[in-house]
Amino acid sequence: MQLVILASLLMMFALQGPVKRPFDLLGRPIPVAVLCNGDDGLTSRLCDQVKEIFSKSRDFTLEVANKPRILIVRIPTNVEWKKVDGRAKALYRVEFSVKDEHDVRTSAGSCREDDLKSCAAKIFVGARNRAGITIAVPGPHRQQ
Amino acid sequence: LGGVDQDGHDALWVKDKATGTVTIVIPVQFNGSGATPDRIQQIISRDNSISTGDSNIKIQVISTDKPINGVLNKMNVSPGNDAKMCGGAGECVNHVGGNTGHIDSDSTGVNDAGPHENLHFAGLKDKYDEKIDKDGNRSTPPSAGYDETNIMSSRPGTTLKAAQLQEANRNASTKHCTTSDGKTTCN
Repeated sequence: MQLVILASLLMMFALQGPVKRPFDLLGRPIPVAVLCNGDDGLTSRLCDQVKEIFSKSRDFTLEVANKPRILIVRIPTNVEWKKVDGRAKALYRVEFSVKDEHDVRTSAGSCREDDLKSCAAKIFVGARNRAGITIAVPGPHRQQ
Repeated sequence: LGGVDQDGHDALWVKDKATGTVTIVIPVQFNGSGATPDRIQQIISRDNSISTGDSNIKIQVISTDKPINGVLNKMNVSPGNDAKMCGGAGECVNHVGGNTGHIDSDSTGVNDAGPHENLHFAGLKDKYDEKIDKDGNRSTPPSAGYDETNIMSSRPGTTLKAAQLQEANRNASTKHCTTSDGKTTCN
């Protein structure tokens, strides 16, 4: 019986192939660069929060230099805002891409201006999703 | 609510009914120890001499302590950074289309930062793309379709594109006005 189960699992693996991940780093943190196109206060403060959340994460390592394979989190334009119930609400767009790949995923979100950490947390989740769903080149791990 | 545009207006889009020409009026109250008359004049003259790319639209930054048709922005010019409002950037306006700003009077680029930030009051956006190279050098080259002469791409720039002026027109905190027979009426 055990042999049958083992054989079935092996067959399933053979049919599906190895799990494809964008960053096959053997458990090492994923290098990420945060780029922001805007120097107004709202954009700068959100950018700071995003960098901070990545710098504290064990899943990512915040890079100051570009690398051959790096996740790029880009806030492409100044963060917009509107007043809701007398408070400023930040409305951001963000792009996730992997260097040298054409697939750019975009996302948008909002949070209160006095709670930009929650916007940063949403961006962080988006980055994790992006890192997990992109099809990577299967095969041996490539040293960076 | 610090930093929020309390009255909802940061610039005036003033259309002359007779000629159809438009003036984007940005009233600014300069304050702080670095807001010397010479510096204020240099900042204003930079903004007001920008080539707008549309001969029917001009920029007019006005140094004033009193609101113009209910509109007044405040620009602090003093030594150092304002990390609370601007984060790591140090110099900024609170929002694009905001009404409060800070520039570092100790910075050698203060007379370039001021004109750039004043245009953010009116809702104009930045036009550059932050890049990072393999050595860790960060740069902010102009966005596609723009060049270093554009003041929203590069602070020393002296030009705008006509399309950028429409950012001020569409900006939610721009007040729209019409002048006719010497009288100005605002919505």
